[in-house]
Amino acid sequence: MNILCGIVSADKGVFSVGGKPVRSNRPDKSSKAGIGMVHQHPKGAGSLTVLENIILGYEPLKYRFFTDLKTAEKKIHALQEKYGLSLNLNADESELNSAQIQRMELIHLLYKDKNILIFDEPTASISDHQIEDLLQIMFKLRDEGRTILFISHKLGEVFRAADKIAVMRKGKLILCKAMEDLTPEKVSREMIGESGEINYPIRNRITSKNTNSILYSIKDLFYRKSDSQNLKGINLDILHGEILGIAGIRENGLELLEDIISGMRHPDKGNLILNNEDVTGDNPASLRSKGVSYVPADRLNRGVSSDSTIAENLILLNYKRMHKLGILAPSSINKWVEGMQDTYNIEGKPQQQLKHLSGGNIQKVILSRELRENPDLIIICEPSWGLDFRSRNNLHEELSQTAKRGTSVLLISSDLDEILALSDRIAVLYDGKISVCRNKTEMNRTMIGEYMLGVRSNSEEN
Amino acid sequence: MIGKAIVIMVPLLIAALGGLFTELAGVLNIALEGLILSGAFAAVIATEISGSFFIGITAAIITSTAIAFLFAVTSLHLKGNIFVTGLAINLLVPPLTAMVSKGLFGTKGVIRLEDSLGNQDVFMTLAILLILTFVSVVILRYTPFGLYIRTAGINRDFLESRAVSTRKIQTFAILISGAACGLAGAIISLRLGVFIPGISAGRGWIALVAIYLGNKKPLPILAACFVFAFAETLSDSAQGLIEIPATIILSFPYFITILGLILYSIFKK
Amino acid sequence: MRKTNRIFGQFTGAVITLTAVILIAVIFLLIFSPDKSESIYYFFIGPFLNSLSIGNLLSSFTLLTFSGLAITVAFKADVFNLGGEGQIYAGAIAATAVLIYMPRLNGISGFLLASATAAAAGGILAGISGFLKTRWKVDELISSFLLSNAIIHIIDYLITGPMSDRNSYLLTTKMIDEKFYLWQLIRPSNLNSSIFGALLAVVIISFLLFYTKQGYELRICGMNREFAHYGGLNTAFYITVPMVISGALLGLAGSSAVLGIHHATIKGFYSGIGWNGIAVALIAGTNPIAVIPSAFIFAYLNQAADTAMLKADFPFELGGLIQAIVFLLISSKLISERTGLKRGRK
Repeated sequence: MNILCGIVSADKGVFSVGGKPVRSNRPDKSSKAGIGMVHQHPKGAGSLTVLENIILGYEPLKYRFFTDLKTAEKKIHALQEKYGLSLNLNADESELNSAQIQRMELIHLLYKDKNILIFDEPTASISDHQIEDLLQIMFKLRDEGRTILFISHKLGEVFRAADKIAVMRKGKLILCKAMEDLTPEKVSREMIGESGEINYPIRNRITSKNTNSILYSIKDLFYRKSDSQNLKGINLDILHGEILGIAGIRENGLELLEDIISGMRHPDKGNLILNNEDVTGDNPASLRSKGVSYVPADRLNRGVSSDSTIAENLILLNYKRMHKLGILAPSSINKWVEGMQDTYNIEGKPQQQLKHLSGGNIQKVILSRELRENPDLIIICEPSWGLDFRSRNNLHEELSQTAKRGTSVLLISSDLDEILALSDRIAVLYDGKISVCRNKTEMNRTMIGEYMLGVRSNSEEN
Repeated sequence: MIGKAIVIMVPLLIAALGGLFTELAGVLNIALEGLILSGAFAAVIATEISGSFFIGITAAIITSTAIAFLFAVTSLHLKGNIFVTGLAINLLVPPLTAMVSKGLFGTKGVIRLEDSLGNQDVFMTLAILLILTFVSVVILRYTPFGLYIRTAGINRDFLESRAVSTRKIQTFAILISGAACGLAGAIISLRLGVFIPGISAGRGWIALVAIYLGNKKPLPILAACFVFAFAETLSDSAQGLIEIPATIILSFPYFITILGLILYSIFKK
Repeated sequence: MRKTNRIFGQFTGAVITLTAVILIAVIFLLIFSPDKSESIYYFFIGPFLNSLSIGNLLSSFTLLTFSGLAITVAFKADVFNLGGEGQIYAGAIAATAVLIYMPRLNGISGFLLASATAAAAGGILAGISGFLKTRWKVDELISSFLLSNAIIHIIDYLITGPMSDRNSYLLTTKMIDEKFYLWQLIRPSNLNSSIFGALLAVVIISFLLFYTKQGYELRICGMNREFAHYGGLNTAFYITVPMVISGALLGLAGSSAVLGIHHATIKGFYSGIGWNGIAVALIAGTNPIAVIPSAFIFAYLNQAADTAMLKADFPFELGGLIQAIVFLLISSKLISERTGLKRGRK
């Protein structure tokens, strides 16, 4: 979609509108071709009035220098009437909720009379009853002859709205057929992909007297970030010595869950209990001292200091133990760091800047640093993002070994294969709630996919 | 006394309104001080050479705008740190004026004109102030350009997505502040009919504080400038009564700016 | 290999800026001076012509080293100390006050007490800015600058008022007793034993930054504050403390000027040392050791300008011009990949 809108250039290939090819490497070229997008996380500008936001860049002029606000208002009111898009034009952007901001974006596109409208996950940010309104508007636009590209992972809406359905996976177009020829189950299968005959091995878990007792408990967690992004009552228990995988779609709450469980954000309601101690208000550093390590999804900003050296990054957690008489000697640091690099297979020299390392190696730096502290629990999120095939496998092997040594692992990931490969138990987060939590043996790929997409929900099971 | 304050606040308000455009466009502009000084100097030089106040004022505006352009280029196009480049402008102007002054008049000190503009009628001045404020409001709220300036400071990605160049807008804003400061400086020096090194006396900083205290809106800025001008008239009269050495008074603009900043930071949403 | 790439980038930026500066200075000389070749000659060779200018060059180098080091410490923690001028002035007046009002101290204790007071004066001044940042998020860049300007006027008042020396034709305080003078190295130039202090300071600061726990903590806070916070470091501490150290070093520069050069606090003597210190730090790419060559180059440039002005009747202020031009160019991200400044505004 970014390519169609001219935000990103395609490496190869062209697209054309109405038979005319669009050489699009700038947003305004796409715009001229009549393409417009309503974004996934509509943000607006910040603090303009709605009217200003809509007409910015395309203001009607009066006496050559002044904005003709009256004409603009009239034109916009007409559009609002026609499509039923009610919005107070004089309101300040900051007062709007996400549905209204989305409406504002749409009005802008109509004001510019765009014919090809892309709606990117429009229902992700709005509440349920507003979804139907939106669909009605889309129908009306379609009936006028405009083309609508409706991107969504919620198959219920897709089947309600679409004439044709296209499925993309891993950068390829898998299918594009009329809606009548498809079923939600088939689409879901194509989205997740056939796993063929891959057997996901059952891990041999170390049993100790601690096994199956609760290590970290999440009770009744509520958090509201916005209309659409919120957690509505999460209950989960992480047991000693297990790998618990939480699957889901990133925008559907995974990011939020990560922030709260790790201590970067604090919940509105609910408790986090570690070994019978309430740690709800703790930050990551204090959780770490209590035995909980955290490897964030946002590695480059949170997990490392890219401009620092590998050594400086690795010693973050234990430099205090590495000095003699208050002196931090580079020679002994280097030796220790080289030892770490050997053990964990991290490339590069200790004095090199971290940002020159590959994604896989950066991940290893963070992981080895955290694991060295022998935590009871390690929370790791989207671990193989941006990793190549081999690094990914090595990482999975490392996590497996970690769990073998008795450390529990909470794996939060939108990568289904990863979840299936590593977890003992699997939970799925959909729409702010945990829709299912079972042993891996009781689940298969298709099933998890359906839970992730909302095709299946807990009410269907008993 | 109020009348005196109204007269004193003219250059302050002009500089502040000019600076407002840069602040709204997202450019921290500490070069106001240097720009005012350059305007004051150019005005006196040009008036001395040409004999006409009008030419003096025009020269001031042109000079300051040119220096503002230098500021814009080094900050926006060469991507320098905006505070460092602003500071550079302030460090550039005094030696430049000294050199030109020495070259043309053989002195780097005070330059006296034969005539001076003197002070204008209070009511006329008040009218001019109100008109300037009104014009600023109109530009900012009722022209596309004003909209772009405000958006540049709020969300430049958004502006770019509507095919407006943030850099162009910011450059324009800086040039406007240059012209405004040139005019302000000209008023300061031509009124007295003299150029003294350092005649800007921290007014660029006060203008900046006025912008923040006025919450970056023209009408409150007008009020803030009045407050500062009034304070200055008070301290002028008080100088006869209370013994505050002149040097210490020179430090006041800076203390006030810090105080203004602290208050602004505390009460910022 | 990669480390040299990074240094190369910084180095190139510095070289380009310095070359531009020298070029512009030469152009000005050619345009404005009555005797072109004389000016050029004195500009480039002047500083080395005799022991007086060499001595002054090294003395200037001493002050710039203190100053550049101070700014480098702040930069390493990603804070900006722009209050150098005022902090030097404050250090000077503090040292002078101690020695004038306690003339009974002997040479050594006088030196120690004066230096300590000077460091404290500069440190407190800078520390206020650090505090304002941690407490109320007031930009330390602006607050240190404003505070410094404010304090300069107040000190001016002290010098021309209560502490003034009526007998002198200069605007200055009374002179300190001869027993407090630092050892003069090359008479009659300004060069004195504080040069060893400056070099020692570089060694000590480098050691502290790279070989101690606290140094590591400071540097990590400077490189990525969110990361430091995530790792449990006390980021607020490493905003205020680097400012204090920075101010203290500048205060010491001030006291060294009093004890070693002027033997009193002369109004406006500090002029330019604070700003040049920033330029020195920027050119040194926030590397403490590199401050030494950088300060030397700067001292040389200033001396060159002075000599050209004096000997070739070049109109005043070339030094100020050079300073301004360096500032205009040095922070440009376009000119160099990294000059050590991490912060950019909108």
